[in-house]
Amino acid sequence: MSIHRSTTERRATRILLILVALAFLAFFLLLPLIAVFGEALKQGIGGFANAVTDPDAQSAIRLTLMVAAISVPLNMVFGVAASWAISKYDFKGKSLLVTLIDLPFSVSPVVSGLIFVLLFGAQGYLGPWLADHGIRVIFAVPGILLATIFITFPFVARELIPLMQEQGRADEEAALSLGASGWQTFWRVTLPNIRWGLLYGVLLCNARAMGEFGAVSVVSGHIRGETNTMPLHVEILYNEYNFVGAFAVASLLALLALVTLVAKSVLEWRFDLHSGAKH
Amino acid sequence: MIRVNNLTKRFDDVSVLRDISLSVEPGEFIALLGPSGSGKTTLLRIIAGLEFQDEGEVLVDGRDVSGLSVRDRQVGFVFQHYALFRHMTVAQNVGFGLSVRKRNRPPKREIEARAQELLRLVQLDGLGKRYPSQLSGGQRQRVALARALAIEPKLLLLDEPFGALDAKVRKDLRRWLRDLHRQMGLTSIFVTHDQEEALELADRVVVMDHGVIEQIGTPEEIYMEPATPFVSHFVGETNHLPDGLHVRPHDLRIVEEGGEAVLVDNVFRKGGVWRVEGVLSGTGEIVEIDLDAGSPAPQPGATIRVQPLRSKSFGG
Repeated sequence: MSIHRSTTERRATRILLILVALAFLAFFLLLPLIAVFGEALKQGIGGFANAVTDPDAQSAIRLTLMVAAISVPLNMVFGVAASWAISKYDFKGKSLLVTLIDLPFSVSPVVSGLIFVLLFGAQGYLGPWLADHGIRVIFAVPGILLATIFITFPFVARELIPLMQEQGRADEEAALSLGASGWQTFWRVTLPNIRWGLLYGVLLCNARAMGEFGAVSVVSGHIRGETNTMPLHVEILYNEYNFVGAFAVASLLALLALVTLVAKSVLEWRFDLHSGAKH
Repeated sequence: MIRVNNLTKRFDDVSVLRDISLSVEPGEFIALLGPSGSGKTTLLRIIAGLEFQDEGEVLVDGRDVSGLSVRDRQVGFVFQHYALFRHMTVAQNVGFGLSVRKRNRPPKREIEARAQELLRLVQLDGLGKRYPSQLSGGQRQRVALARALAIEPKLLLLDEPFGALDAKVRKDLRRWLRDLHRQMGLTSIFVTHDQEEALELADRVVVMDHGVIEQIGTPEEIYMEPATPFVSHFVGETNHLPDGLHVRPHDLRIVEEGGEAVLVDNVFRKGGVWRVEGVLSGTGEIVEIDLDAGSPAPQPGATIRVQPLRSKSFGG
């Protein structure tokens, strides 16, 4: 009897906790999401379509896609290289490297942006030299790229380091002892072992690359049709009281977030299944 | 033939191997036996080329291989936790060594046939299409072995090959590995912390402690003629009698007169013998005695006198 009672009590607590969590989610996530799509469609599909096909909006979408298309693959390579080095080799300064990888997470994005202005801006260390050679970094696309790469660097590495550390070196050592080269070992053993974690890290990295506001805002200069990414464009439209336009573009970003979320859940499910079957 | 000459290895400032020399004849089955931290696994990994020594050399058939990486040494290495590639089928695992060959890579069909053949050898016919996660521990171990044998190694190295298995499977695999070693004419070295395993399997046992070799000998020599107090202690059970005498529990007998007085604490049946646990009256040292189970057992609380039939003296 006492066992039965104690489980029912626990069930009541569990239901209460779940309800609290759901209410919290509904208020802070679902409600805003509905509001975004609601506002975007306030003037019907036509209003939405007009806002999204506006040349400035189109240019912002193109720029955002381009920035993501460049920064995500780069960070994928950097992230895999850094995690490989950290988890498979012992070297001096390893813990310092791990701390440095986390730096973009711990520094405010605005400060990150300012670092690049300080380095490459007209009054910056390298600014005059760049200007002499006709290269524009700040208030131009290269600056946006640099800021985005910096901000999104940790995502892939953060995902892979614990995974690769847990997997250890034995699989690689086994491959090498069987005569595989380093390159064969990487493609045929290491990469398949980390593929789900890598994909997950890339998804998160992509979501952030498209959504980053702070750092990009500092270096972009907000030139319409040229250096406005989607998040910056949303802010400009909103400040101009073009609510339908702002929410329409915002809803595209939200849609991206949703797709990422679904993809992430699917991956997590596969990932669990995969690592669970290991034991 | 494998020769290891004056090998030294440090990790940071800690010496893990000190002046290790060892030679292994073709066809021998060698056990590296020692407690954790004795350096046995490091020695195995240096022989494999997975780790590199600070001083000394490793010779294979008279050739110094110290500069060669594991990839070029053509040794079969079986890892403690098997290290099977979990995204590959069992057959792909076994065929891996052949499929990564740059020169004379056999055609795909031949690799598959070879994998089948090896799976038959390790008694895993028909499991080639499974994934490692679908196999039991003992089966995984055998896949790891088949994978290592696929590259036709001159030398088979096994790191705690039975460490992760339960007692029954361990015993079966042990016997099976011994047969396989003989049947294939391999030269094998395995690492273990289990003295029973070492004594049962190996032609010769290398007992290690704190990075030095304490003794190299046949199981018989190691057990009956331990060279150091450590070996006597680590291999088999040992009682300490006064004057530095080390005596096995089965080498003590009860006498009427003389010998050492022992206060009996506990008596229980241990297989075919009575195991008597007591305290040595003189030194307070704990003593274990095995008596023929046919004879009457002493009662707890009684004082008996024991004398060694056989002993090993390591000085006072």
